[in-house]
Amino acid sequence: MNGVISMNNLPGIYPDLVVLLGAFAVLALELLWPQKGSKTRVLYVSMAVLGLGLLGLGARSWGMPQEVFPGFLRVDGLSGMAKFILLGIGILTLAAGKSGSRNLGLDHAEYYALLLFALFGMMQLCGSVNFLGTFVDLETFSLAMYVLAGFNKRLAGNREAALKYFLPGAFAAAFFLFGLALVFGATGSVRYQDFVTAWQSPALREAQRALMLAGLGLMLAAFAFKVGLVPFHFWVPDVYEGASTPVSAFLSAGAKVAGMVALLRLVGLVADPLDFFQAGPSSYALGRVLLLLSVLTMMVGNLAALRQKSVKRMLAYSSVAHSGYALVGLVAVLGGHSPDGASALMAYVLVYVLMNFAAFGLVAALEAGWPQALLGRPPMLEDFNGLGFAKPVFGAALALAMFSMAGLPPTAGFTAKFFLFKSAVEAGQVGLVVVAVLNSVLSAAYYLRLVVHLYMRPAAREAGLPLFEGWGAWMTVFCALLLLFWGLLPQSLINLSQAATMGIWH
Amino acid sequence: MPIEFTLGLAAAIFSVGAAGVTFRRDPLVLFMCVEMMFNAANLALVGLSGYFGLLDGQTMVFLVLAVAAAEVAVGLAILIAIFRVRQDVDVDHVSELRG
Repeated sequence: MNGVISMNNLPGIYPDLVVLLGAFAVLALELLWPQKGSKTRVLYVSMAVLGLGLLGLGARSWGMPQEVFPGFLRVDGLSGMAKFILLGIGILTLAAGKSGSRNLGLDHAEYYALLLFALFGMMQLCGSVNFLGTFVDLETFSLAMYVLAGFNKRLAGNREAALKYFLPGAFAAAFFLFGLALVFGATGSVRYQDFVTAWQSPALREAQRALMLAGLGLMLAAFAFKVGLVPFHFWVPDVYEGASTPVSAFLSAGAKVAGMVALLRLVGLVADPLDFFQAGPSSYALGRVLLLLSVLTMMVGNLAALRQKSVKRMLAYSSVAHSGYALVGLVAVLGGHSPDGASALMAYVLVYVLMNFAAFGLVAALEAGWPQALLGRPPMLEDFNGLGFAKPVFGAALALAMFSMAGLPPTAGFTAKFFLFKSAVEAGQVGLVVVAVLNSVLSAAYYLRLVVHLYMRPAAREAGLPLFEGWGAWMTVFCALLLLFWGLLPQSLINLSQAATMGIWH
Repeated sequence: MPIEFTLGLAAAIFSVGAAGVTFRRDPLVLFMCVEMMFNAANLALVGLSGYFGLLDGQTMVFLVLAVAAAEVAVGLAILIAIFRVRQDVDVDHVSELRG
């Protein structure tokens, strides 16, 4: 552990530092100079912090990979794109909670500080090339997330969500830590690079190899918990339904982006030496495990989503299913070690974030407009009846997001899935792609059911729908327009993700 | 003392903790079991540190202890928040949301 820490390295992680200092600034501001009522001031400060981070990110070129703290943290195209997406997620989350923050229970300055702390952890995770660093980053964002999940003190379901997220999360962290100890025992180091070197070394003993595989397996299980892969997904629906809607959106998008990028970095680095699909029986088994996880996650997520009446539960299971699709890209990376798999995965993750916020944004707008009596009741499919005609702009935006989630053209959801499945076919995983396409067809059933409710059912309340036409609702429109743009002109999306993932293994 | 003994003991403690999380229902006990799993990993790290003659493992344990302490603070706060409402924290009774 002889990472050289000097001030010269700090500009490399400028966006991360801005977010971290911003979190402290928000806390200090509210302490020294409290604002009564809705906390618009800290909201604007948080937005400014995220904007500054984006500016700092834009000022650097993504093309030059660099180990900011050697053996700990890498700054390259992959972490650049991931941080860009994460800062965007932060801004979208703030927008979703802007209108009706009182109804959503988010009118506390601590909410904004915790959000920034969680974002900092996720951003660090995307650049980590060290098992210990990965563990600390995972915990940094998870600890903030546990509190955020139970943030709305007015609702009992909220605290339950926090407990149901905390216990499996801490369990998963212990798994990761023990895996780390095993890898340290086998190699005497916790750097990804030393893991690869030790694996390739001809002097590697069978006992060492077994320890390394067991450690890697334990750590993969921990990631599966955090990202919500079957069979470690049981907490997802309860937590997403119980937490405040903007928090659910943040949790599903942020944890997925950070977790998938960290998995990509870990798996991508060890993929070449481990050679998952050709080499000896033990590595082969690990590759098959990821393949099996992908299939199970898609199937279970989609089948369970079919039965849901609550919109947030449906979106929760749909997010599980989308993790399964994203894993297809990871399997493509493993199978052919193809850079296309990595870039398709990044494009897919970006598009998923937009679809997710389009859907959750309108749910939040609906809750923001609700009278006190309805608070705490999860929004049902029936609550969207007739919205398509009552509010044509917002209804159309939500319908477009649903088409995109189902993977129908001309939306970005189709583009992203197409490139993902294409990369998997090129890596020789035809069977997996067949399963994934069948799953997409199956998923259309429940996404289109919401569209049916939007346009083909009469509104229940004559007085009109209580949709709050604030930032949350307009954010849905913004995301939907981007989805349409990348659906019609996919080349810019592909170029972006290809530039980001170029040369990430070296 | 051979390193196998240390690792074996750590693995045994880890398994006991994992079994506890799987089979017990009281959130406080679950919580203690998770702490056992953390400490099993710490034991392995310290033992390996001595075995390799490196300080790395021991410095890692300090980091892990800090993380575990933060986790205890958050976890107990969540438990207390739930206890205030319902005066009992059995996970089988925490069922306002159904999984």
